[in-house]
Amino acid sequence: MAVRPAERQTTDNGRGSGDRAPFPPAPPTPSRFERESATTRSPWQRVPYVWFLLPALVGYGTFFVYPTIRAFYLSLFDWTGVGPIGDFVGLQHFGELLRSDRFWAAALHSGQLFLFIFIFQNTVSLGLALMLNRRSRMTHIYRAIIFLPVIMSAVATGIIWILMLDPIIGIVNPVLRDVGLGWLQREWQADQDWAMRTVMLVQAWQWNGMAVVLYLAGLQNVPEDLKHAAMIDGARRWQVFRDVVFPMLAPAFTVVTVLSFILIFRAFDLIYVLTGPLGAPDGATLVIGVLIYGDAFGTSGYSSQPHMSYAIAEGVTLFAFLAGVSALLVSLLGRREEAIH
Amino acid sequence: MTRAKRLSHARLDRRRLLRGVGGAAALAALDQTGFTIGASAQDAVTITMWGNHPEWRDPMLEILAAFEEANPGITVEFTAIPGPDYPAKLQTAVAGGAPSDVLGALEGSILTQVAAGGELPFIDLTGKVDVSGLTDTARGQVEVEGKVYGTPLASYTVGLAYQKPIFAEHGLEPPTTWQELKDAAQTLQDAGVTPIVLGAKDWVHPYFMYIGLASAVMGPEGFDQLRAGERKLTDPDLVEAAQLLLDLQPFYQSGFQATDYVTAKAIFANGQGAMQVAGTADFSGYREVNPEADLGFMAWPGPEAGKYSTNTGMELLYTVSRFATPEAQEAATKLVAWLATEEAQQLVSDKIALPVHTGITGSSDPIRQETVAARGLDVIVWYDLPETNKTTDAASESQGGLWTGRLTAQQFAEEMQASIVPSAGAATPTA
Repeated sequence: MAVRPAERQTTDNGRGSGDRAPFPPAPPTPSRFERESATTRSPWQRVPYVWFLLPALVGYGTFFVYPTIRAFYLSLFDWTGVGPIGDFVGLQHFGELLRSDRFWAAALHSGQLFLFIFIFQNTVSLGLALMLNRRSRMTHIYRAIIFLPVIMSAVATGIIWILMLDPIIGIVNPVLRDVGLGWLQREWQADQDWAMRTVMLVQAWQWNGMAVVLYLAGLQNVPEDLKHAAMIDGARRWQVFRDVVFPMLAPAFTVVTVLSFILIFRAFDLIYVLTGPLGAPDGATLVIGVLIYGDAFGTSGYSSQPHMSYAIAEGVTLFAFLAGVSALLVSLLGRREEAIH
Repeated sequence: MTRAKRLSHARLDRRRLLRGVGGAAALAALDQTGFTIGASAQDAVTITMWGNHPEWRDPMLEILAAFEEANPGITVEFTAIPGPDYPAKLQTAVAGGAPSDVLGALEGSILTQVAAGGELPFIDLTGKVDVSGLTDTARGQVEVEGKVYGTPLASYTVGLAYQKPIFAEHGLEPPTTWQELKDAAQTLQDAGVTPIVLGAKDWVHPYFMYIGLASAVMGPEGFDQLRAGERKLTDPDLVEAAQLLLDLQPFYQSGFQATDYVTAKAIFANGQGAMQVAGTADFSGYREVNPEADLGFMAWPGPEAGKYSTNTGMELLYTVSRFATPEAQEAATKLVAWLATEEAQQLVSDKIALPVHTGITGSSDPIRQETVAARGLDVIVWYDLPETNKTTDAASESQGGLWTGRLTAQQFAEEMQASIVPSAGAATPTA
């Protein structure tokens, strides 16, 4: 049974929708003084907000727009990252990376990671948000605990996870053994089948708090009277969630999905600390962010010829991919939101 | 007029803004010329210097204090950067024109950068730094085509570190052949001890293990043949070295593929393993983790008795940044020249690592004495030379394949061989 949201009976100011004034108030007529000064003032005076925008625009242009354009320019040359820029090679680096098995393997791992996080955030994180949406004395403490991993240093977090998962000095395996789950013990990060799953779990743990907070904000915008109306109409709890609450969460769903997509494909710090520059074991956990870093600076650190311009080409490709897919996601999910409302 | 009113009347017009910007620009210009208000021309110079061993920070400060005492007016601001982060930080800083004044180039990199041509990030110090007292290997790293660019801070020798109490408890002596190494590892494993602690998440441990075993096969002459293209890592006796790396896999600790260099060192220092590939510099780290650790050092066992080997390389090669101000360059040159002296090298030998000056034969540190005594067929660390510099990249990318079965020992050796660029002759001195 599909339960439609009831139409709103009141306007935002609390007056009934039929209480509107018969005619909208006429816009104020500019005085003669205002008309004259508008023609004599300079463009800067006519649009004073430009002064306020200028610092941000300068910063944005200097630290984002210019480097992006410059990066694309550099990707067309041979450059090790040190010394003068080498020969013009056109789109050769882009061709190379599209033929590179390592690039596609890393892209596949990033894609798998996003898929897992997407499912996790729309099941576990959403479930947690639903639980935290209930009023209880401990709610604020639970929220703080769940959000904590988002604000913790990724490097510190990574080191803590490494130590916990280590098969010799870690606590995960002994705890599993002591609670009777010894059959679950394994070399979490060295096992080729489990290394990527471990990375997925750690990433899910890290970003869970963000999704919970966003969904919680969305849940608090769902009017209680809608849910009550649906229940009075005979809807069960699950039906109320599916047909009333979840559709109303569409804006939060859009934000969570797009943000997760960008964060996961750009993920570097925590994964680098966890699996190293080579995506141990044997590239099983190599993701795009770590691949780009390795190509830029060399995976060994003693490489005499790092492929900086090739790494920049990878970065430009990632930028174009993220921009394109994010725009598509925003457009599709935006249309979904409009359809729902 | 109240303060609030005064503020409301204070308009930031363009003229006032330009006046402010102009003033700031003038001050900035004065700063560029080195002229500062209220300061004299005799001001002290402060120079920056980066190191890649945080565990050496305190002894380095002591060494630099000796320099500052001998050179009043020069202050050295020393920053220790973790080793794995150092190459990326240095590269980014050089690309941005902002490395430290005393520029610590990576071993082998002066040779490769001079050979590559183009503008160098360091300056020519010929006639300003006396390298005549340095060992041939050390001089070979900083003297290229008749020009001197600096001095290595120190050298290190890589072999196997071992836990003396564990060896004593199981009645073991340091092995001298591959068979003895395997037997010792088996004895330890049977007794429930992890024989070898390896950090294979990074390239460092597997790389040094491989070049140690392969160097034991070749010796210095064989290595020169390898550089000249007369010998190949795919020769059957050298493939055996890669095979041994693989055969020892059951003796590495659980989860070694995902264990990083630092964690592996901590595991070993705490006595949770009996042996580990280690260089001179590693012992400071071991002591930091476990001051009580009773460790010994041995050369790499060879395929047969008497063919044991070690690898010797250089710590950072200190040069002078071309991006530094003339005053800083002058002060930095004094420091680099001092680092090459017998006085500085004795301090290096006593406090941090092996000296590069031929005049220094002793050290107050017993483990450094033991390292020097253990040197066998000593071969230079491979990545120090242009012909074998890229072997680190090859090892990085292929060592994981050995553990997962993606590569056989033969295929691993082929990958390593493919990274070697043979030269016409071995012109650069080896260890």
